[in-house]
Amino acid sequence: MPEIRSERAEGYPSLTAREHWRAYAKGMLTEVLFVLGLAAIGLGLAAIAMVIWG
Amino acid sequence: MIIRPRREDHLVIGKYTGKILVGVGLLMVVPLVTSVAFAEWDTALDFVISMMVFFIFGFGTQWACRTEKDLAWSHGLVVASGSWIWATILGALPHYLSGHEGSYLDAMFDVMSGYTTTGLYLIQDLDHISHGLNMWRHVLTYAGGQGIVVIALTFLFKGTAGAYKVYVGEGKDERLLPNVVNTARAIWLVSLAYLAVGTTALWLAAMWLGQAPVRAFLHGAWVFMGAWSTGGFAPQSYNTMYYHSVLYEVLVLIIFVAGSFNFALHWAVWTGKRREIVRNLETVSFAVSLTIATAVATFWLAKLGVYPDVMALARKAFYQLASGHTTTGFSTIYSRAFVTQWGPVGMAATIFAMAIGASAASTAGGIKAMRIGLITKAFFADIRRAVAPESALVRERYHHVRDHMLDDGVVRIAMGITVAYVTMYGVASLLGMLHGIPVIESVFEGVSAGSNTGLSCGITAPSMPWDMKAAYIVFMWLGRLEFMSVFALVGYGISAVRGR
Repeated sequence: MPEIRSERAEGYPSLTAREHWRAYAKGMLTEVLFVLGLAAIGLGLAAIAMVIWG
Repeated sequence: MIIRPRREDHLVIGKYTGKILVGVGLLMVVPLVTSVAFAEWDTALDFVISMMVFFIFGFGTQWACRTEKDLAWSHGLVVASGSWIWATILGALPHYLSGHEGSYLDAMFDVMSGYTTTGLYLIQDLDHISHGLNMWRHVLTYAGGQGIVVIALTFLFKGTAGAYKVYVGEGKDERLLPNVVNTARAIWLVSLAYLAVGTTALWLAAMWLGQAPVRAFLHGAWVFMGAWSTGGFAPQSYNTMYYHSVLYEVLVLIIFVAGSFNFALHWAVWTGKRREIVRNLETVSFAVSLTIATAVATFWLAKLGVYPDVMALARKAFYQLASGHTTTGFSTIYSRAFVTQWGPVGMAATIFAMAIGASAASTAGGIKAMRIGLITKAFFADIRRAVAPESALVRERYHHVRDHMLDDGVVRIAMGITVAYVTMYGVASLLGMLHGIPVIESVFEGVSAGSNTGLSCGITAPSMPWDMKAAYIVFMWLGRLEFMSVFALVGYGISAVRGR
């Protein structure tokens, strides 16, 4: 989001401006997907462990 | 050499400590309003008394320490660490007045555990405390996760030139934006956005599970605060096992792992650099060590046959390990199950995860994934140097928001802090052993306190010896502030008495 970055020099006059919220939502979604990816690894490890020892 | 502080130094430290105490006192408005809303008049009175004490100390100190001088670096460190002590001593009042604590030391333990986002607690009959007190427990852990100083920076400092020096003293040395006050506001923006979304999700999930709307909302807000701050406080003594729900556990997992991310990472991802989440050294290091710890615990538990199927094993193993690694301390097993079911290998995997912790400049504690990543990179760079031709120049880079050169200074600082943490873990473990507690349990509980995690194998209880309670308070404080500002406070105290 270059328009957000360009505001850095001006000290972010408004962090809560409406035009930023779409980028914020995408950021939050990216983080959620990352955590779900880690959880999927945990589930995969459990599946492998149960196949070997279960 | 430590220079003896002069009168002006005392004044500037007192002035800013007073400002921060007023900020913390203002937080009590939230539990006070909660108490009034639920007609808990005794609890409301406790908060009125406590707020008065905060304001008398806060405004009184500011008045007594009137000065135009601004903060120096050493002042900032002393203010940050000293504020946490005063905020703990005064913040324990509502706990103590509630009658749910065995002593004032127990009340201070719970408050320091809250501010430092540890999550260990000594409060008695947790399932029947008032809504107001429960709100205070969770507000103080949420505020502690943000950083007490960040609160004051946001609302009270108003762009003071020295504000950044207090901010660094609290262990948050990332500037997301050129202005430190705007950095504090950006941190709040991320946290409040997650608060709104996370609380709503947990509220709806709890209602779907059968809780009444008001109760579901309160639980949603409190569990969110405990999760986001990686604090681990929950409204029920069974912690998040109380809900017996995969959906609730997944929501909580998302919140506490997101809460453990560096605020600089949040800000980068939220402002368009979404690939940062898989490139950043901290998240890569965290993902690798979490996978290792989970693999060890999962394979061990499967071999023991503790859980009957894949889902049960994944739910218990990954949840506890992720909770431990993010230093949250939420659990979905009984405390003693670590000893009676997980055994030494399962506990060792959890200790490994807790000791490392999550990201710097986040709400999490522990050594931090960044430092482990830096030390690992430096180790492999040294190996490459050893096998490379003598004339070869081996340079190492790491990525954290942007590319950085891995120089010796960065590695030395990371090693220094890591050694300090390991030493603290050792002392905390030894203390338990001296009280006759088995080695693995002593290490588990000591690392949990020092890394601000809060998972317990059953040692932390009101019946715990007083010296362990006092020592754990210090370990939680040291771990949260990452030593430097605490050492500065100790140095200030010594030099005030006899330094030159």
